[in-house]
Amino acid sequence: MSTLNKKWYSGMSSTEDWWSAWLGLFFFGLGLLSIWGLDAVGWIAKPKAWEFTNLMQDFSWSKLIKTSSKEYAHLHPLVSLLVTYIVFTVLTSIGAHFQKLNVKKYIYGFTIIFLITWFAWIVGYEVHFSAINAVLKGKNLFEVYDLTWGLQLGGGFGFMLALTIGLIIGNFFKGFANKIREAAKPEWFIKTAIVLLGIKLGMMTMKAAGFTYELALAGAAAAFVAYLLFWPIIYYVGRKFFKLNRSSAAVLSSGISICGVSASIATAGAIKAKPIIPIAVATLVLVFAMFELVLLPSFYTNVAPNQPIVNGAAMGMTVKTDGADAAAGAILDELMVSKQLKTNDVKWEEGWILSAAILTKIWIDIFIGIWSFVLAVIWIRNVENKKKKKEKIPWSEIWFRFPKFILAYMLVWFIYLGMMYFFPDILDNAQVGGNIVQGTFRKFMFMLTFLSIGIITDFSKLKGMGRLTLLYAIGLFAIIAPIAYLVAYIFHHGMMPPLAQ
Amino acid sequence: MQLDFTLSFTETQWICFDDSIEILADSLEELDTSIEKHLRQKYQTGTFRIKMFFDFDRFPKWYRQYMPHYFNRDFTYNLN
Repeated sequence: MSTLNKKWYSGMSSTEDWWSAWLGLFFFGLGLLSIWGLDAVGWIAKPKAWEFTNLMQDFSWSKLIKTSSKEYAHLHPLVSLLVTYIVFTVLTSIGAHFQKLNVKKYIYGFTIIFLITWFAWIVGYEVHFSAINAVLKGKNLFEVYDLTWGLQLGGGFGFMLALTIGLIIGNFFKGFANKIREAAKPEWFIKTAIVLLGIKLGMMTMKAAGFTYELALAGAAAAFVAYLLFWPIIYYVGRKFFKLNRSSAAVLSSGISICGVSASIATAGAIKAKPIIPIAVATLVLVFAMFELVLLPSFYTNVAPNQPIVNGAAMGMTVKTDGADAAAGAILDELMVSKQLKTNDVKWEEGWILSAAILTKIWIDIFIGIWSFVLAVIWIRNVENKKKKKEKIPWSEIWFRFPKFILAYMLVWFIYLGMMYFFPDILDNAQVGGNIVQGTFRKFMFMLTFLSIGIITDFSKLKGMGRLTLLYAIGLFAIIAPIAYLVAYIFHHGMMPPLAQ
Repeated sequence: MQLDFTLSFTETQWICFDDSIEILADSLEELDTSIEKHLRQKYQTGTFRIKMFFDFDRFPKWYRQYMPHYFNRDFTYNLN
């Protein structure tokens, strides 16, 4: 069996990128049925805030889990969880089949990942970890449960717990990790979540259209400026000080400075490097993305608590791979919104900081296809020997490298914009389902991502990559991160998330 | 004349093949030279448009989720 990209529609049924689009659009479509009064998404289980002593005194599943809408409130929480498991397992297994994964292994792995994800998600909602000492939706959980202490991390604790469990499995229980790895697909999960985030962006546009457009444009400008700086600097440092050959320097430059693994593959393909080079770079990218994911959200939250959108945009330009960036953006969103509420009693609307991180990343993802094309032309003209043959770069290369999930993300956003401008009467009903899909469905996909990204990250793979590791560390923390923050500040300073209503 | 090939990679070598031929080489330059030689032997003269499609299944499974495309090639030999 071979996977060849021959036609424009190649890969539509077989790549995780397209399957992110299909899965995301399917959930989006289910949510839209609320326009006609049909609740096809409210069955999904979601965790509830709970307190340990209270639960131990009188255990009940209904204290931990509930359905996402009242239409399905009659379901026992475990039935809701079972339905959630069945729906997600069936749908993703169909995708796994078409992606030529081993479906038996996938179902086994997904079942374990589902259970651990839910464990982490439920624990993350324990009020000592999640509750903020402030009035939210008419009540202060600190007072309701008479808490004497609390980490006040909002939903961030569940994310971090899932990530930690994943890392422990991936690094200390490698045999077990290998057994469930077939279903650990952070890029698939996060891209699906990003498609669903298109709904959130649509809803945000309704509330603050000017600000949303400004955010999208600022993200594009920032990404463009940043990458004109990043790539040549890293390439120069790699060649001059680390004596890398042209191919390795180019692939590593894209890996560090553009969008991680996908950029390194695209660049390696553009310059026709041997596949071993981007695979080596991918290992570096994935491990360092984990450091970024763990360190940067807390760092930005504590160093610049009053620059939420700048922090989000900087995150999008600094953290590599879509999965790690969206995950870092989600943690940053939770931490910054919680901190602002805790310290200033101001409640920023959730999702804007995450959207800032995602929007810059999306522009970068689009940018990589074009950049690879340009690089391929430069390489053929200036580096390769082309005496006897006349080689051209097919325009289709841009399309094949274009991230398709972004099309679905944009489509979802534009459908909401269309409804806003042409069918405003149906918006309220559309949002009933839309809120559940962009809320519970999306957060569940994020949780799956956090666990999966931990499972596939193996720090021991850095062994023997000394020179490249050093260059990557210097490039990332001494060059990329500061420039990204500066550029994010230039284009986004003064932008603040709207207040939650 | 247009000829379509599948391009692949082992641990160390590039492989280019269709239903009738398989060529291995350490570099793409060597591969192209071998193809040219093959064309000369088989057709002597002519203009040939060569399309090579990289088989993405050669990459490890875990790796494919990040980017589903490596590269395709499209070039012309004029053997007149």
